[in-house]
Amino acid sequence: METSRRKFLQATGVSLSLPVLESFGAASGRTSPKRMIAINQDLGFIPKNFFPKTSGKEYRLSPYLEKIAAHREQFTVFSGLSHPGVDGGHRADKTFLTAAPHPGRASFRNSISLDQVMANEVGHETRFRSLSLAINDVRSLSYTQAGVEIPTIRSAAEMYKKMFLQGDRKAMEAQLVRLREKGSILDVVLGQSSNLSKRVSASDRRRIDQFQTAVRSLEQRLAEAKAWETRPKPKVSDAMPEYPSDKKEFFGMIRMMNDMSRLAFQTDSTRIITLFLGSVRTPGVNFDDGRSLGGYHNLSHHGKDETKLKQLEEIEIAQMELFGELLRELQQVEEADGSLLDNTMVLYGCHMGDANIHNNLNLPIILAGGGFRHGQHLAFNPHNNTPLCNVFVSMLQRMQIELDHFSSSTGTLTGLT
Amino acid sequence: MRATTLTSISVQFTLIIALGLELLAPVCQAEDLPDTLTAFFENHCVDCHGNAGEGGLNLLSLEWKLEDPHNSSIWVKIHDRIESNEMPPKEDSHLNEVDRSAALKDLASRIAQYQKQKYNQNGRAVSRRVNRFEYENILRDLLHDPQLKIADQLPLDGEVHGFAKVGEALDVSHVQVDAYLDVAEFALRRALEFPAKQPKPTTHRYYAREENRMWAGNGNGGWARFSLALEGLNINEKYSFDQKGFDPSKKARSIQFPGTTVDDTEAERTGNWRKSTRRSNHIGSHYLATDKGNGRYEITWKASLPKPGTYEVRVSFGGGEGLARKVPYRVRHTGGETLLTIDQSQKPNIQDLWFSLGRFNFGSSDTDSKTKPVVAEVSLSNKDVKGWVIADAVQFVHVDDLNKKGEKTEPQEEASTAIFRGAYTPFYYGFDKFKAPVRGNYKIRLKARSVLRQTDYVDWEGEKKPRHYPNLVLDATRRYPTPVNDRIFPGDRSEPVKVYSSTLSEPNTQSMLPIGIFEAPPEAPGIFELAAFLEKGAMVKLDCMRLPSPMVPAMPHTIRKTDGGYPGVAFHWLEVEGPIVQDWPPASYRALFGDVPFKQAGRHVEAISEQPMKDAGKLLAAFMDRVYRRPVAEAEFNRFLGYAKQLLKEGKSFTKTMIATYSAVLASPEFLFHCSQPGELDSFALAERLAFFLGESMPDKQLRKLARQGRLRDPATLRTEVDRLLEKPEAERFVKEFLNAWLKLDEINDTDPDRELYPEYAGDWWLVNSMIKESRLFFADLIAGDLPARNVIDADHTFADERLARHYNIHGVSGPAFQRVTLSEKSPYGGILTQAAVMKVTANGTVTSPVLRGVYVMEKILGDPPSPPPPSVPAVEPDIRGASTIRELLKKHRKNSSCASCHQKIDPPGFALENFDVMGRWRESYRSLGGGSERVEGLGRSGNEFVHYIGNEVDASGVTSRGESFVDILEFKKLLLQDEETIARNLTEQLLVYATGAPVDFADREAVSAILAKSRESEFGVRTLIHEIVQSPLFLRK
Repeated sequence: METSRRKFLQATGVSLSLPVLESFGAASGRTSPKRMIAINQDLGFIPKNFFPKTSGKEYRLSPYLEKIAAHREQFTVFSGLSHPGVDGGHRADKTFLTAAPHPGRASFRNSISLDQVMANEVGHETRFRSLSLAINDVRSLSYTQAGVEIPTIRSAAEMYKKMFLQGDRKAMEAQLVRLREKGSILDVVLGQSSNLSKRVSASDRRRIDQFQTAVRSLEQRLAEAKAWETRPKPKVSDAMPEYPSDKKEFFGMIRMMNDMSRLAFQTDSTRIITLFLGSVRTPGVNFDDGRSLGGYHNLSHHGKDETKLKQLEEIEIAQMELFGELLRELQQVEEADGSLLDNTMVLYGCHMGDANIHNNLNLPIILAGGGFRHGQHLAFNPHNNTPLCNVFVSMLQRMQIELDHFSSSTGTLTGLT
Repeated sequence: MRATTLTSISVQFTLIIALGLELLAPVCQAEDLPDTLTAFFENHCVDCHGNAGEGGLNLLSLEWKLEDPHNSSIWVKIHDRIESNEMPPKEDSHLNEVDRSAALKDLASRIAQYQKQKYNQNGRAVSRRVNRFEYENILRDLLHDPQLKIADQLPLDGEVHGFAKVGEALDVSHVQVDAYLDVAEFALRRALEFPAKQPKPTTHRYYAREENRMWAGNGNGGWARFSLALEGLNINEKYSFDQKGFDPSKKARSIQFPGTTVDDTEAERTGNWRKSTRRSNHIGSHYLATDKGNGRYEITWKASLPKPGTYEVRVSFGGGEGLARKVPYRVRHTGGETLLTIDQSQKPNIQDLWFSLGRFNFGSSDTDSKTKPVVAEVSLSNKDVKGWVIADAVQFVHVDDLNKKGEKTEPQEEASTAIFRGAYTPFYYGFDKFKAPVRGNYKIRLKARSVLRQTDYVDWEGEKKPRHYPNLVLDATRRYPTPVNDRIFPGDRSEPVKVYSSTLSEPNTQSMLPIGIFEAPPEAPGIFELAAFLEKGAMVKLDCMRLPSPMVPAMPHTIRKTDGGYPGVAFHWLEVEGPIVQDWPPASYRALFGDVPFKQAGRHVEAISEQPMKDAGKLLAAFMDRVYRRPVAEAEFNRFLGYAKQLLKEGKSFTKTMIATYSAVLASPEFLFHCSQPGELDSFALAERLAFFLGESMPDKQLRKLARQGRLRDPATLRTEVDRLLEKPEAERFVKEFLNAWLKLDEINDTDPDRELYPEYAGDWWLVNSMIKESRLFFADLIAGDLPARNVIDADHTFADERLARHYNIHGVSGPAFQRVTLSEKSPYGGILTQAAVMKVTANGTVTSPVLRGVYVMEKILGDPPSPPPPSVPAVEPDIRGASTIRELLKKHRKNSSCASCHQKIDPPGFALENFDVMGRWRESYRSLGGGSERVEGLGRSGNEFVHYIGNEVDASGVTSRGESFVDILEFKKLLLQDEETIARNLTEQLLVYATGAPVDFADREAVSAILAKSRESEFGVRTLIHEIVQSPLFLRK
């Protein structure tokens, strides 16, 4: 993998960040901030290849986990987790981080996602409260308090520009003017809506109130953005990635998004990232060695056909290897108090347990890094799943957020701390 | 909190008080479930639906909590099961009719009463904001900007029953508000993006032979052999293939210039340059690039020139963002060396390809120079360079030739480029040299004909002798043969060509805007004129829709051909006339600035007001009157005017002030929300509801006038207005969005047919587009002709173009235009239920599932959505190995009694549809990958090799839950049509959710029945249904 990776980076213009870059602020000796990245690969994995057959500390790695064996002590693999009441097959992607029940139902309403709870608490400390990224898809893993989808950044180049490209003075001033103008527009709007809310019926008033809350929360965000606008952006030696437009360059895109996420953490541009790997809408994949396979989504409907299973396996192995690369990259960045991986919770998984039957039980979930006690397979009851939100609560607490409940949680997860 | 006891096991039906809401207003509360009903359930139901929880229902734990929509829907379902005599089951029940109807009546009136009480307080519909498509339409209408695209910039909307029309689900967060500000600014600024001086129309001709994209998929050089250059019908050898492969880009380009060109492949270089084809305007198969600034990368181009003299030295580097701004070049000439620093991020100014380094002398002037070679040399290095450095080609053009350039490169009209493959991925072709200078109307003309190509092949097997492949087309061996001896003939049929515009060189589905279709004739080139509305910078793209679009890097042998040869289309040129200006200043400007004069300011114009305060008031009043869907209160107006005045006082320009003020109006809740008081809608709210129903946008002039005059409520006026709105082109938006929401047709591209199992569909966008179009045309026709709702199930006609007709095995339809076709009695394709688009969205590309299709039919067609499966039961796992059919798998599944009760309703419609494959075409047998009676292999539509097997025969028979048996879809349709009212009722309810923004609930049933009663005479004509919906209290009240 190493040689092909180098070749790839050379070919796409991302320079390798070797030797290890010192992280932002690491020299100052202060405690490094905690970060979180949550990744959803929306076709999941063939269960028998993903889940280990034995559990505990001494578990035997499954074929897929073999691909990240080097990091065995830095991750925990879970089985028997799911979101209670979440069904609807593919549609459950929007509840991966929210656990709002029944995404397929007519009366479905989404709720706040894990990352946004974190962003609301720690987001004000960085230029971006959080970043929501997606590849080959428009959908997002991040939802606001009101359950509204947060739009995604869909190109590593765009992410690079936002984080590192310093506009000239003129551009900065124009941006400040625009932010001020938006603020003043909101003043007018807010005054207007308070008149309106007096006129409407009770249930309608709740809608208008929600609108007012939205306006206020935007005002706050604009104020933050104004403050950040005048501060210089961090400088990095890495060049802007040449993000491919061909959807089949899926793996290249994942690699670039991973790189940018690492840079985002290193430069403390944000501490919270969600990354949606849109396998469903990926027409096919090009491998590092130049081969390609078509019909990723169709392969997931393998119908137990041997050839299809084999091809799907190849793709899924590549996904695991990319995940391993991300862990390695995070591991290689040293911070004052451990590696960047030690300070970053990496949640990786899918909202479907088995894409061939579109079920939403027994989800494939890995939690890496973040300073947890790892190196184990925590196996829960496959017939009576434990809420995935219990893991989320543990993650929230690791972020030093004093919450003992999130969505459908019934507690924290024992065995992680 | 009080509780009632249902059984001695002390189970509670809890009365829930909606906490927190009573502070705002009195909130309705459902009364307790009375003892009589409690006793009824205890006596007749809890044996099975107690803790045994059959069918997923446990009445002992089910709360009576009608304010929760899901809970309420369960009680409604309980009511319906009892009403239809489905429950309690006859064989196990001792229930008498008197008790049954008493309990039923009691339950019904309690649910209805609760809901009606709620309606009285808040209305059926909760106030809602406009959804993102409506927002886009409003701005399109407001700004007379039909191609404005902003919906994609707004977050996805929440849906109820698939409709983004219901207040409860249309939440708002800071994300939306921020997006509103951005898209409003974008749309308003766009309205000012035009040249202040009225542009004069010009006419230009662009020759196909000069277009790089008419040559090959960019960067696909070697294998993308899909075009030939022709002079008349003779292949122009200068452009054509030779046996060693062909690099069309190089030849095509170098011939345009009378100079000496040296490409990077012929240059001397040091450093590990990276080959790239990313930037399209390069010479040869690729260019070289590096982003290191270490000085270790150098390249030197050496040329030997034909004669001494002064040459213009040109270099190519693509240009564009990310490239180095200071690149050191060195030119060695007679006078020594010249060092130059070139900004590679600039766009090359000669033919979009070359940048001139200046004129230099090469070769000495003494007499023996004629015998000595004239040497020229150019080099560059990456020393101290920041950003990407690109090294491509260098060209030396003698000054004498510079002047002759014009005559030499002027192409003959007879020359053309013939295309032999379709467009779409990965090939896009068209005329990129033309880019529309301004947004507006143009006339475009294309000269083209259809042709046939015949070819022999040789196969180079290492050093061995060439082997000929006389009949190669179905030879699926991978031998990479090379075509030789191309021969071109007039086509034996006309070829449809789809023309569209895009501002991107490599368009995606979102950026392609259709212009029109013409048919290139076989006998001689024809000239076709199309009217086009083009964005600034738009290019004209082509798709020869009947030709295959290779999805794989197809070798020549994998191109399919007809009997006579490979069909293709020869293009001569594109001529563009325009922009054709009909009104000036543009309507979009006048919508915002009336007759305020303007001047140029960069790309935009700026409004110049002599009396800014006065103009601001006048313009703002007109604007608010237009976008607020009711009279504007003075206080509302003053707030915005105050804002405008404040900005003007702060010194903001008049234009910026107005844009900011308009943006504020467009982000205000009065604009964004549909708001009205409970009870009868006032005439403004009525106009609004009507306009958003049938046009997906704000009321037009006529509706606003009627609302102002208070005349809209008059039933006859409403009827006239509905008819008028349905005749407007905007009604197409209604058809599109309604079908997208109702039938989920917007999911049509979510899966692609498997290429092994369904090779004939690979990359067939024409088919997919035609499928959608069929359903839209069909539904629009039901409205236009007031045809009965039973056409949802079955019809004696449909609409098809050539491609779809072939799909349906209908003969006699040729060409890309849709026509009405009459279906035979035995045709299974009549009716929306079995249209290809519906069959595709209910399948997943690999397999069809009777369960998914059955659920879809119950939910979307019959209006009886089944409960979701209990979570403990494993789903049926699709298996395409050919060993067992889905029917066998389901049989096992139905043995589980908790599955059986639902599946006896779900499976029959699903079984009946089993004869339709994943793209909705009729099949007698399943295909499998694992094995079967017959192995089928060959080449698919896109040159894809495939192998599959003909598996088990399809059995589409079944028995409905009422015990009626059917053998196939035709019989099943007859069974469904025994009850036309159910079909009409469902369609009415779907339309009602869409029209009123509220789900149809229990209490609305009476009103729905009234609509149906009034429509019965028309046999539930769809237009009649729409009329009666609009006249119904469900529509006329909040």
